[in-house]
Amino acid sequence: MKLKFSIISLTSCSGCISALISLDIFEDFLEKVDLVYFPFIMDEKRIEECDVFLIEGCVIDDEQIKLLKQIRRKARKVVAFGTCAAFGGILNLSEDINGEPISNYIEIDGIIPGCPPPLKILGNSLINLLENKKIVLPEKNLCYDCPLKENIQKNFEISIDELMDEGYKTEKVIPKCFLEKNILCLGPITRAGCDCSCIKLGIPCEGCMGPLKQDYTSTIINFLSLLNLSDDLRKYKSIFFRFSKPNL
Amino acid sequence: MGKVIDIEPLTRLEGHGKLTIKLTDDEKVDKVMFSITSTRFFEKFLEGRPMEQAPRITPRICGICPVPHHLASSKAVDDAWGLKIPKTAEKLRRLMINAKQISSHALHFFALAAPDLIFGPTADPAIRNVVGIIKKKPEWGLNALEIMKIAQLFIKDYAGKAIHPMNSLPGGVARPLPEEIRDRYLKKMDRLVELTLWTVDLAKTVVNHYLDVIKTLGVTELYNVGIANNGVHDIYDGTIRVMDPKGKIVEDTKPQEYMNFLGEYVTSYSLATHIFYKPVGYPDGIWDGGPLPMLNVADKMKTPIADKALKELREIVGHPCHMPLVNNWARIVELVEAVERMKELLEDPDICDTDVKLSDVEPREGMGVGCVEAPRGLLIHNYWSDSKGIITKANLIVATNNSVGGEQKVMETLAKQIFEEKILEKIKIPDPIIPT
Ligand code: SF4
Ligand code: SF4
Ligand code: SF4
Repeated sequence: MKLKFSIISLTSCSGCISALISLDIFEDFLEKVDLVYFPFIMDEKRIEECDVFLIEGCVIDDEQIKLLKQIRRKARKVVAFGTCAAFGGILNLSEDINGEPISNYIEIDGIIPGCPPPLKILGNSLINLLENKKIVLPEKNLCYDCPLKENIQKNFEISIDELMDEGYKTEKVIPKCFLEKNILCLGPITRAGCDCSCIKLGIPCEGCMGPLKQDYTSTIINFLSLLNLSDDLRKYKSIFFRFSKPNL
Repeated sequence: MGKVIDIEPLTRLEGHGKLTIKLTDDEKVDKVMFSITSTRFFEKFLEGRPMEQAPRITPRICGICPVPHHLASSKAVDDAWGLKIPKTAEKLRRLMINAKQISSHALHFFALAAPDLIFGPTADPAIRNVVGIIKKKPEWGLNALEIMKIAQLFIKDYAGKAIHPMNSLPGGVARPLPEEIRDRYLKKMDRLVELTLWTVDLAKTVVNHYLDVIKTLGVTELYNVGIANNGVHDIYDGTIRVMDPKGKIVEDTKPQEYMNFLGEYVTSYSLATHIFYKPVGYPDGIWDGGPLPMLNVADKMKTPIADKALKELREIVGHPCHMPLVNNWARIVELVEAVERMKELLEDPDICDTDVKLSDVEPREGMGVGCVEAPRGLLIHNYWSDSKGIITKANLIVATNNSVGGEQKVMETLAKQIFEEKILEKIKIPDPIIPT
């Protein structure tokens, strides 16, 4: 028996779904599952019983809460697909609306984080789901994978050719951890798994994979206490947790 | 009280829409309301943030067209801060937007539009989708996914992520194009061109098959808007052109002056404003944006195969063309151009040049406009910053705003055709191309 899958968007940009469709194993995935509800590409409008329900996007209104409860009754497993569904996501920058993670309203059986989830993480998670296993995610922070971390303590030249830095244009500079250069990087409080995409372009991490734990407020407080922030920076509240909303 | 027909959710639409059609007692169409969620939250929360962050935040407005937002945003900051980016940086941005155009258009045509056209609009919804195409005509579905993936993976390999990339920033791009990536994708270009030409043929087959339907359904004469660079179709840069319903270009103006001729109308039922041509007023000046309007306002395409495709299209449906279903074909013409441009840019001898970013970018007070063509229509980002480079105000005119007014007009025409003229009983809908 093929597993029955459903995929829905709440308040989202559809980026997670786009990532899914462009996944190299998407055709295999279509072969292996029975897709029962996926309004993005299908006209089926009814929510049916299914094995796995992937939910993209955050929750902003009562209609969506009702829908979530309905989904929870129909689905054996509910997975928060993407950082919006898992942690609230980009709308956490807004003070007008409250974009909440779906887990504020229903019990969930796993998350596939990222904005959108990196292809490798997404592919592996789908395979896990197909094999009826738990989704396995990297349980380390981004710094752990970061090619710049070596320089935090030691001070020798590592030549990483893929790495750019503000000064690359004029001279060869030694790549250094952004924090050491006084540039905010959210690597320490962000889950690894994106292959350090931004860092490799010479851009600091903005935290789009979301935090490591669902309960991350204390981690953020610890991190903030380590930073000696300029007064200017203190003003822009959510630059430190652009994709999640700690209870500060 | 007449009948009210609600269609919600609208499926296969990039965004979450709802269509309401109100009929009077004698089955006359009273009102058509098309509502779409908006971007005003983004405008609001950009305020008070360092302007250089905008290109990283705004792509999240739309996961189907993150690159156009990323670039319109970067261009707005460049403009506000008076930054003239290096030549190669512009080429690399163009490479990104063309690659994105390829994947978005391929996705739209195959996942969103083609299922109706290929299986026929009356087929069982359970198979009338891209999954059905893959099952019934595997080579069609797989070719489409292959086109999409080549382009999508290029953006990922070069710009960090395919969706919500971060490579473009004020003053240029973060990363030069590594030769290794250029070589890898150059090798794929012939295949991409081949797949695209096949798509053109498929589109032509579909159009010819449904020509009568296409020439009838929803035809609505509207103003059209799009970008052209000295009259030539261009999705990255140029002037904003407005064409009147008869085909005359009535505006050909720098994006910085958009406020002089672009009006925004706030409806009571949709969060997205309707855009109209100010000199004419609302609702007569409602304009439409997107692939077909882009072709309508252009004198020609930038590349040879696409230009030939444009001429063919004009021979069959005329110019200007106001048949909404031709958008699907127009999308393919734009797809061809994007593929040819991607190839040209990868072959450009300077494309791997490392001078891609200004090193002296200083935040300052200013106002800037960034305008590009997104797959669904004109996109404008407009920011104001204070002396520290903090955004004090942001105005976003997204593709949806530019086409939703027009789409609503088309829906009105359609609703009248269907409910009043009972057109579906009169025109003959041909047998589906793939019988179900
Ligand atoms: S997590 Fe990111 S990509 Fe996914 S829906 Fe949210 S904003 Fe879009
Ligand atoms: S803070 Fe950023 S730059 Fe420094 S090691 Fe961590 S991820 Fe790398
Ligand atoms: S480096 Fe940070 S912001 Fe960039 S993709 Fe990874 S988690 Fe997201």
